[in-house]
Order: sequence, then C-alpha cells, then structure tokens
Amino acid sequence: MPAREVSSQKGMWPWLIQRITGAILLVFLGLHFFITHFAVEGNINFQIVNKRFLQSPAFWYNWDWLLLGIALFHGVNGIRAIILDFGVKQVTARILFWLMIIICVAFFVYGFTALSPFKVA
Amino acid sequence: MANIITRLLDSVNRNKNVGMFSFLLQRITGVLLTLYLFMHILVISSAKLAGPEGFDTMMARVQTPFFHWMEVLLFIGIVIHAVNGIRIIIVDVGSEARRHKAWLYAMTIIGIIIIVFGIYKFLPKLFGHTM
Repeated sequence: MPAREVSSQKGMWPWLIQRITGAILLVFLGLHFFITHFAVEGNINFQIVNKRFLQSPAFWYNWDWLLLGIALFHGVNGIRAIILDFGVKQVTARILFWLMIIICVAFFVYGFTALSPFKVA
Repeated sequence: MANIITRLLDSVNRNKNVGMFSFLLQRITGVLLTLYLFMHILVISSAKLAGPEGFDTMMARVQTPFFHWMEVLLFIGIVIHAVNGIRIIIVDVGSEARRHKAWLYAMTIIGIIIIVFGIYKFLPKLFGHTM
C-alpha cells in the first residue's frame, strides 16, 4: 500500500499568502532595484547605505524588515510547496513545515540584526 | 532521489505543453532565486561581521564586471519569475484559465521587453564603467 501523501493543494492559506506576498514583492523588489541600481551613482558602499538610512530612519527600518520577511517567506514557502508537490509522507510534510519556519525565523533574525550597523549615526 | 527525478521526467514527458514549460520555469527560477536570497543576506551581513570596511571590501569584490554579468542572469531569472507569477495570479486567482496560453504569450512579450530594457541599463556596468 502506498504511503499517505499530501499535496500543497491542501494548504489554502500558504497558497493564498504565496500569491499576496508575490504581488507585494513585485512592487517592493522593483523599488529595491531602483534604489540600489538607478538612484545610486557608482558603486554601493557603507557610507551610501548609512546616509540613506539616516535620511528617514523610520521608513527604512520598516522597509527593511518587511522586505526581508516577505522575501524570505515567499522563497521558503515556495520551496516547501515544490517539495510537497513531489508527494511526501504526512509526517515528512509536518517536519518540513516546522523546518521551514525555523529557517525563515533564523534568517530573518540574522538578516535583520546584520543590518544594524547601517542604522547608527 | 532517483525515484523523484524519474517521476518528474515522466510527468514532463506525459505533458509536453506550454503550461508544463512555464510551471517548470517558475519552479526552477524560484529555487535559484531563494538560494540567491540566502547568499544575498550572507553577503550584506559582512557589515555586521566585518564592520564598515569589511562591507566596503565585500561590495568592491561583488561589483566587478563578472558579477554584473551574473546580475544580468539574476535579473533575467527575476523577470521570468515575476511575469510568470503575474500570469499565475491572473489565471488562478482571476478566472482566466481558458485563456492561459494567450496570457503566457502576452507575458512572454512583456518579459522580453523588460529584460531588454534592463540589459540596456546594465550595459555600462557590464563593461566596467561606473554609471
């Protein structure tokens, strides 16, 4: 008898959130590219990023954690969906769910604290 | 693992059509972009690990013509994923499943225009000029 399988179709919320975060990333990443590649003369360095942050700290603070969090969720949830589509055992799907949450949280905390040097005058 | 690959190739073989092609492309670019995201976070974290000077050293290392060429590949991957993603939202959240092929062709044209425009903007950096 084949093992019980789950597919990503079972998860309505991950599916919907994947679409919503995708749409948000469209706007956010567009702006992110514009800011880092077109609004900057020459190469990016510490001073440029630091100066930009200090011009409106509240905006960039929220921008950073939102962009980081949404991109991480979208990427990690996407990989999870791909693995689920191959058909895995239910216990594997559950482990995968928590593993992906741990990866998301760990990289979010690491990535966000890694930005702290830019936020000092 | 071998089993998974066999099953994947089998289902691709049984469904050779544009939908399968865009489905595969979306997933391949998705995995690559997520791997890039992890790498991106690690590179930027040099500011924390090695301080402002360390960050500048790292940035100088990744802003060479070679890496700008790599960025073109990254850009192409992002545009493919983005326009195909828009098509997916239109087709499965909106009710456009019947016209999914037309949407694919439309999005392909839009994607190509964005890629050409992007590469045009990239050109100076690709040949070692700062903008």
